[in-house]
Amino acid sequence: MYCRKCFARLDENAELGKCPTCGKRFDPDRPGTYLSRPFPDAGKAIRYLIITSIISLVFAFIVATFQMAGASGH
Amino acid sequence: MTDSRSNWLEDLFARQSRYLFAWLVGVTAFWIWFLPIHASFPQFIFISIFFILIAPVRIRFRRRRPPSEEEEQWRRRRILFRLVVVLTLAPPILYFGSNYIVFGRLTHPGPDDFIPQIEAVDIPIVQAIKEYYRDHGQYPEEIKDLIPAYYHGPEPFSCEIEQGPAYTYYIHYFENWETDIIYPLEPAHGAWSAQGMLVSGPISLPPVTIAPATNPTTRPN
Repeated sequence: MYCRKCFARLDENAELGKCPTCGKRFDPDRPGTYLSRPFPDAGKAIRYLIITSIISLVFAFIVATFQMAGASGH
Repeated sequence: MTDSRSNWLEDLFARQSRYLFAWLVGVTAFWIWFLPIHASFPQFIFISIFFILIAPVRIRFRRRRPPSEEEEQWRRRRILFRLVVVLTLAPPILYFGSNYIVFGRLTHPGPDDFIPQIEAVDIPIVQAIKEYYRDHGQYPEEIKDLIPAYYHGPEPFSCEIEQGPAYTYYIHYFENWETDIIYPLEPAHGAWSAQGMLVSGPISLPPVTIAPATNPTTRPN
């Protein structure tokens, strides 16, 4: 069992129901509340793709603004 | 407690890490080659900050206990996964996105994108200048001297003959990212080129030629 947030091992703290590193709660009887391996699951991977795309678009806009300002001489 | 659900992403990054690393190197090399071409210094700084901000390496200054070998392996796989995502997604979005915002197209324009405009507007004017030179033995001082005997169209805005060390035809395109189109009128230097903040370089058009004079020239010997 691994924490969904920080990927810390949870086996030793199963009775606490709380990650010892980040404090995220989990339920040993509900597989959706923890990871079977310390690797992002599909939901987290998709979130990561979306966040990376949004940040990239923001920086594309900043780069474009610099280009347009430079080209217009301002 | 084990979970029997299979996760193809986990398997991919656990077993195929060598191929993914090769993919990563290839994508990085491709975009390093592409990106700096048109990036000015401030843009380069922004791009660097961008990569630093979303760099997938998670630095841990304090650890409660040293990680086991297995934990370290999984940490490396997570880093590789994030690197693959960032370096696969970010450079194309940055490159195509900024070009689309600035130019309304996905790729950066080059000097040859001016060819249709040059063929429609500038080549007839340069031909008229050369015909004027052929008949008078000197270049006109202004473009309007060509009208109407040599050139029948309207005089383009911001178009002139520069009388520097060599006579040069010059036009400034405001609407095309403040770019100058230059054509040296001396036969030895006759090559079209573009000079601007965003577009610069030679234009692959042949030198402008005119037909020989049919009337006796007034050029002094």
